[in-house]
Amino acid sequence: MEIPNLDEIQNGALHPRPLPYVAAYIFLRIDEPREGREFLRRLLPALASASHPTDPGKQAWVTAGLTFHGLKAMGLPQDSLASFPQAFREGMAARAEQLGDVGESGPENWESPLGSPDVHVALSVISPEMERLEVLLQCARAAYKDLTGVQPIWRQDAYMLPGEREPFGFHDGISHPAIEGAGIPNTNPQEAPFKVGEFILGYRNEMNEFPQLPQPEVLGRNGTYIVISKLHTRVAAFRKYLRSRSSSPAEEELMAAKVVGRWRSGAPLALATEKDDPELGADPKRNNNFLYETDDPRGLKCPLGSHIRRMGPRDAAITGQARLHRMIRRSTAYGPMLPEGVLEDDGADRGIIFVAAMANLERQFEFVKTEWINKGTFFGAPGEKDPLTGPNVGSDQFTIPKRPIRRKLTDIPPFVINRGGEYLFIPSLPSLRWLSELDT
Amino acid sequence: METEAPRNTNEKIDYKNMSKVTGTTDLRDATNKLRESLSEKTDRANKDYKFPDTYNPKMGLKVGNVTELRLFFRVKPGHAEALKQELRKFKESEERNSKAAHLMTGIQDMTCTLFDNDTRYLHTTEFDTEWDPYIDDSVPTDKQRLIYANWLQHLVEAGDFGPDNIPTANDIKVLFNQQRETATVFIRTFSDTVFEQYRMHDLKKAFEEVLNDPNAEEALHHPALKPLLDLAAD
Repeated sequence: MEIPNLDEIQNGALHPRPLPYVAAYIFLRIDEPREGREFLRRLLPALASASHPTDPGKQAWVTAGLTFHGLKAMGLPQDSLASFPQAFREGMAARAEQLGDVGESGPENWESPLGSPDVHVALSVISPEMERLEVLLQCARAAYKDLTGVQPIWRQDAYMLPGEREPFGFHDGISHPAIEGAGIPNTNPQEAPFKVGEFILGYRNEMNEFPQLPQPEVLGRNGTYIVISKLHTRVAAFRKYLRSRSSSPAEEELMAAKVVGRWRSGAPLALATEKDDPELGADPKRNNNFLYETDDPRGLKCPLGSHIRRMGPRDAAITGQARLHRMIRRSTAYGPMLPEGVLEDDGADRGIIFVAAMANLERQFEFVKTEWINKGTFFGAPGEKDPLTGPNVGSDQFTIPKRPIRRKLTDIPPFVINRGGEYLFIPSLPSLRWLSELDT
Repeated sequence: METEAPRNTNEKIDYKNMSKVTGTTDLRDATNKLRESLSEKTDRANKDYKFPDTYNPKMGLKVGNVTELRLFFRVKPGHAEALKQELRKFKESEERNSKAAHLMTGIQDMTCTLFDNDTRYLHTTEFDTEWDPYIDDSVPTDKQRLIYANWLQHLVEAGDFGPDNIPTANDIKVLFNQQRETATVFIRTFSDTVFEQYRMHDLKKAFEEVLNDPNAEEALHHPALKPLLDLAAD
């Protein structure tokens, strides 16, 4: 078994978000390579390693990542730039069409400067409380404040909504893969820990192969990729849709649970089939301890096409290998919660900052997005998309297996809109030092 | 920490043993065990893998969800019989013959044809899904890649690949990409996925059982069942 070098990996690549959490995402543009590298040099002391993952002191941290344009802006030599995988070199905006991010979710409608060549460095700052967040933000600011060639160009704040819920009202952040030797407990005891190379570069992956490693080795080893995107959620539309298809509040809640695969408390349908079980939902030892194939192969408890079963089919019979497409998801919520019971959109921007770490953008994020969210071929429903986060256009449907007769939800509109995103390379700490010492 | 893996590997896949397993979980367990036992056989790094400029992820024509793939190879002189033998073993393996495997691979059909006096080999397959995103899923383990290596070793274009030099998933991806010929026309009567075909098969079987019941006629006269009644005459 390979053991990841936690001393060199950035904490943000592996560590679950603290509870509760407040976060800020800051994107910067580098106008002058030398100043960009100086910024990295100054920033290094503020970055935490992934060592001692259970240390209570490791609950607040800054993560630094670079886009491909950012690596160019730092003056990375052409040979090194060319050693990155094509998906990263092209970036999320260039691949939006194949990812299904078109129309309202298309790059032409993204929030500026997301998806533009101006986004070079991304800082993610997260903490259990505002005080420590402010301290970390000050450290980050201090690293660039007198550097005119380093300009902050975007900031997004995020914070935990009441009950650790995402804007649709569901307890989230429940399911995380364990990694061999990383020391972070598994949320599903029935899921074997993953090879390090699924998430960290320089190690063997689940295929017993090495992910493509950016060169030189000091640059790539112990790094990872993070996908970040701002997903606007249409909560009022979701509530109205459920209301229009239900004859009672109880039916509405069941339908919502069928769409998601969990009740709002986080209790999985696989374990709480008939009604919500808040105690189960709040119990981290039980709320993710389940598989599908033995108890629920046909999706009578948790629909085959529900959101969580698509995002992680576990042992369910699917075309392909579920273990090759796992990501470490570290998303956070932004914007105010739409007050309970409100069915009309209040115009507020609310949603999720989707954050996922992986070693292979194509095989993990892009595969999940194109094959599992945007289609249903892999479980036998080619025409269906993820009913919650898929690119539904108002004419889509979702099958809810049910005795004696299955139910179909029809005319599903889009509930999630991509406001923009980036593919980031998260270098190891030695890699950042190497970058900061480049002389080009 | 990593050590240089020994390159021993005359060990062949035990197809007979593999065929005893049933169901997805068993198959996965069995392949994982084999993966462990073979884990040192492949130490080819993808760390600095370079895809050739000619690599084109868009392979094959589609009808509905089904994609066609045609690969042309030359057979190494004197290897024709050995190749045929490996292909027959390939056919017999559990991975081509269980429902779990059918669903997992999404393969609709596959033909393996030697031609031109056994000097050339045509490998054709039709499968659900897209080729490029799913190729890793089709050769996820050393054991799977060894199965491919066992017949690839007899083909000129596969070079030195074989049981002692197992190709990586990227090697297989590039090799197949180089050897493919996209069809001029691809015609299929149906384009339902393997999942859908299993479901239709179950549905047909259930409907036949209903029709065999003496009370079926009366039951099927309910207006809601008219579409079924319309199909019940033959």
